[in-house]
Amino acid sequence: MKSSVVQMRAASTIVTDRLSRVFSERLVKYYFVVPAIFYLLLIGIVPLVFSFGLSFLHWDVAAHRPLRFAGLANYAELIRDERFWRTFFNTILFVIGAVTLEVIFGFALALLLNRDIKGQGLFRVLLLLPMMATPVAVGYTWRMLYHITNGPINHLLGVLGLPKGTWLSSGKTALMSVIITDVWQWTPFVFIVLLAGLQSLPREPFEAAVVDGASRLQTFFYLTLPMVSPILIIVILLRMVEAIKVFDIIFVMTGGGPGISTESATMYAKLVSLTQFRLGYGAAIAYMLLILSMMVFMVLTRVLPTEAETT
Amino acid sequence: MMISKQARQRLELGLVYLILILVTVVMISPIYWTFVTAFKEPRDAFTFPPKYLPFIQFKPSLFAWKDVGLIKDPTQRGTHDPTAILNALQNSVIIALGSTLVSIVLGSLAAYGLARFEFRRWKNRDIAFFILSQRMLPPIVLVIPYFVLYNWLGLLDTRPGMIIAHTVANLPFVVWIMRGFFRGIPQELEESARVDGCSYFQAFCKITLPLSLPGLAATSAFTIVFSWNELLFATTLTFNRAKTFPTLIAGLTHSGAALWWDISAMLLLALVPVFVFTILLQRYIVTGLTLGALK
Repeated sequence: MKSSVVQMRAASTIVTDRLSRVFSERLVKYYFVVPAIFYLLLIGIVPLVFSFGLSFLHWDVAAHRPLRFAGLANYAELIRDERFWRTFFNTILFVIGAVTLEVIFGFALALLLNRDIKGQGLFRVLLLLPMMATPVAVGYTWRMLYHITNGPINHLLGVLGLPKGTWLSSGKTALMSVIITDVWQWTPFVFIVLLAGLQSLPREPFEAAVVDGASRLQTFFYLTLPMVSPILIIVILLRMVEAIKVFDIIFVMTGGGPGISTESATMYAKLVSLTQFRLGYGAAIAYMLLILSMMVFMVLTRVLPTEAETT
Repeated sequence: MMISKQARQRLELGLVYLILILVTVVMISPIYWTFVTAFKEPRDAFTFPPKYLPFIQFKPSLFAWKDVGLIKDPTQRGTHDPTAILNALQNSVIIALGSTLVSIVLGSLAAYGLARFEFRRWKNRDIAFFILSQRMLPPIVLVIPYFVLYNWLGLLDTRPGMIIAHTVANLPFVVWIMRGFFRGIPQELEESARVDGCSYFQAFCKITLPLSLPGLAATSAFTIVFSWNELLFATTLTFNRAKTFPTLIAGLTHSGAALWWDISAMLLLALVPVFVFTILLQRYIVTGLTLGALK
């Protein structure tokens, strides 16, 4: 009796052992990946689908109207909504203006510093600070700096004999001022990544170019630019995708004003859905922004060389 | 007249240093301004011409810190409630650490899976793309449904609710950066550990994870700072009990005139932890940044 029990146990452990080994070899990789995917499906994709559904509903909580199916009515309203177009246009202008300047300044700085320079470490740390700074704090700080009568920027312009700016107080200059703040905050990111990119390039082609007597401009256009372009495109992509989301610095600096001259699409969607509580229409606006950011993403990934894919 | 090559090089280097110093001054001066404003009295803070230099142009004072209520002084009654500030700071810390913990655990597991195994039905690239695409979404698309769903589930204005929300943005980031780190760690070490009888999971915990501590440091620096800085989710999903610090600051000027000295003091409370963190972890942060973009 006893021995057979022992035998059976032994046999069963061998079987389960083998089974578990077979299964674990095949399944173990899923154990690693599935939790994260499950999380993102549940917390990312489900709300996304929910939001898509919302955009086809009339759901005006504040007006106490019953929930109704709207079909495409929300999207039809979008097309006629001037404020929507203005905020969308503001967002696009912000993205183009900010990213262009950030890339120009960041790249120029990276090229300038791509050599042996003492104190480079200190400089890099100091540059990291704006990038990591809390955007709410950045917004308030620049509001103080931009203040038209008592702000240091206008004071210093006066000292230099230059005309004072209207900055955040005029609809004509407010968006530009917000862009300057974003450029201040994010140029360091472009700079640090591109500098690392430049430093990772092989040295031989550049030495050969010197031997061949190539000018600096030639070296830049025929060697540096093509070699660094995959990284450059990733940096542009990352910055654009982030800039499309712009909310916090504008929220603090101008609240979208004067008028709606700096209101971003995110701010308008938030206003419609979470202040006026027109959830369906707000979701439709948010979805238009999603489509815009997907378009940017797709266009730029097409341009990417295959070996430098973002994934 | 010909300038010697050496002199030209020296001139050029001098020019580079000059530009470097100029750029640094421009980049640091806004932070400097907030810093000095936090130590001004109202009569020094909003004058024309502005006062730039402490001790020379104005006497630094702790007025703002007393006004905010963080320094107790029986002779000066504060205009703010310090408990609200401390509560918001506490919320921000707990939410940042909570979201970092969840996203590091889930994210590094997924990153390891993607770096070490081959998935056939859905290719590794597609899985990575799916995860990363979550980071590309404009968050407003999620904020609206979150508001509705959280309202139903009772997660509005709670710390777990904020941790869940921030993890959606942090998790893809962790996967992205950690995958690069894991790829840089030689596979042979894990293989020999498995020959010695370790399971995959044990090999991951005992060999790979300790070796990728710099990576974990870099990624958690980013996730903590992201969560600490975040405003959109925080301002829509919290309003009282779980209110985060940026939400508190963002609400300061919507009522009445701006008390810039007080606001500056609070801005420093938000900024200084981030700056200390950045300086301590600078090496890892730079590696994390470049790894994210280059690999």
